[in-house]
Amino acid sequence: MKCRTARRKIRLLVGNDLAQSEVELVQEHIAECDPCRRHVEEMLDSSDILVTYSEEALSQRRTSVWESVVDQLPPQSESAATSKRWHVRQSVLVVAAIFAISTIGILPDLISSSTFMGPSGIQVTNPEYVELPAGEYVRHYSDQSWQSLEELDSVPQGNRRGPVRNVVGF
Amino acid sequence: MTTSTKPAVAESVTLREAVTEMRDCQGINDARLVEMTREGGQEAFAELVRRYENRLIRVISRFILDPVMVEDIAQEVFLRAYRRLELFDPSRRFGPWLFQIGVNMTLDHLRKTQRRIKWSLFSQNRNEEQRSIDPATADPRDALDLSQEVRLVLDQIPEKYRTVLVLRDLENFSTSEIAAITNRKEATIRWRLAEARAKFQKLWTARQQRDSIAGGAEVDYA
Repeated sequence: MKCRTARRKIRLLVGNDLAQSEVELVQEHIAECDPCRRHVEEMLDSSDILVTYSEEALSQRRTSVWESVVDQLPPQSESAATSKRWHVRQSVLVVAAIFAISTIGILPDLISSSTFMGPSGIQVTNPEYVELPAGEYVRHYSDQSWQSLEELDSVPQGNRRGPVRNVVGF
Repeated sequence: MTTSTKPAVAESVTLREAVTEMRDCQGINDARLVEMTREGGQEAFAELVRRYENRLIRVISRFILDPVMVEDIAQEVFLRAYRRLELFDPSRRFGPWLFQIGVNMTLDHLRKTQRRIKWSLFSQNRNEEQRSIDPATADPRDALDLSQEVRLVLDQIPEKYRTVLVLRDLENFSTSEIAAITNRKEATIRWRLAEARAKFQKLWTARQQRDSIAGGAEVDYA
């Protein structure tokens, strides 16, 4: 290694900024070169000066600059608080919209749909009459109560048909 | 009665929320705090300020002596960072990005100041007779302590080398961090670092030799 190269690396070596592979090569050179060894000592001396200087206490501050910075920022009302409120409002609106759409979707069924699904997947095609197996319950729309087919009026035993107008909510 | 207590209650709730929010921010990494700030959370940015202000002020004060000016620049750095947060690339680290703004603003300030000083000296030389130096006046360097001596030597080193030297040897940034701060390749930083150390060593030795010669002369006269 030439002295010029070695000296450039020595300047990095004194601050531990040299790769380990290069450190060994520089050390080999220093061991054989007096002028470069002197350069190491000079560089270490000036490095010590910088270390001492860097460790000197700088004036300690007691307050954070945040207090001054925050005064110059745009008001938070336009940011965080508004953003939070906006998100809550948006969520409520979305839920309301979904509810409205689904209500509108089933509204015709509530009023005059010709097709209902029973608790066992039985399709009711006539709102006037329904055919259900024994023991199944249907909700009577008028009073929102659950009734078995047997409890419904005019249900002839055997064919399980009867006047179940406005049957909903299986 | 009711009207007077209501604002107080609201204030205490807000304060409690702020304190809770502040406490919540403490364990969060920089990237998340940046994200929260972008969403409008000023408290998240406050936490970033608290994390970096001491080191930023230290770095600025390595270049500028006036503590009031140092604090003004630090504030400006945080304000600029806040305004430019939308431009910040979240895949990068926040610290080096902030210090990049800080170092650039500090060096800009120094350049402006130096231009002003040069201009005022030029004006004085043209308009006034140059005053001769009073030989009876003591050498002001006699009164200088180590930190002033070092500062004087550092001031003689060209800016691009001094910046690297200050960040590495005085503020202990890694060479990769300095590369990010100064927007240069790490190889360039290492090259400049070697140069900067050599320049400092030469200037420091020369200054010490001058001082010792001057000291020796005084002894002879005495």
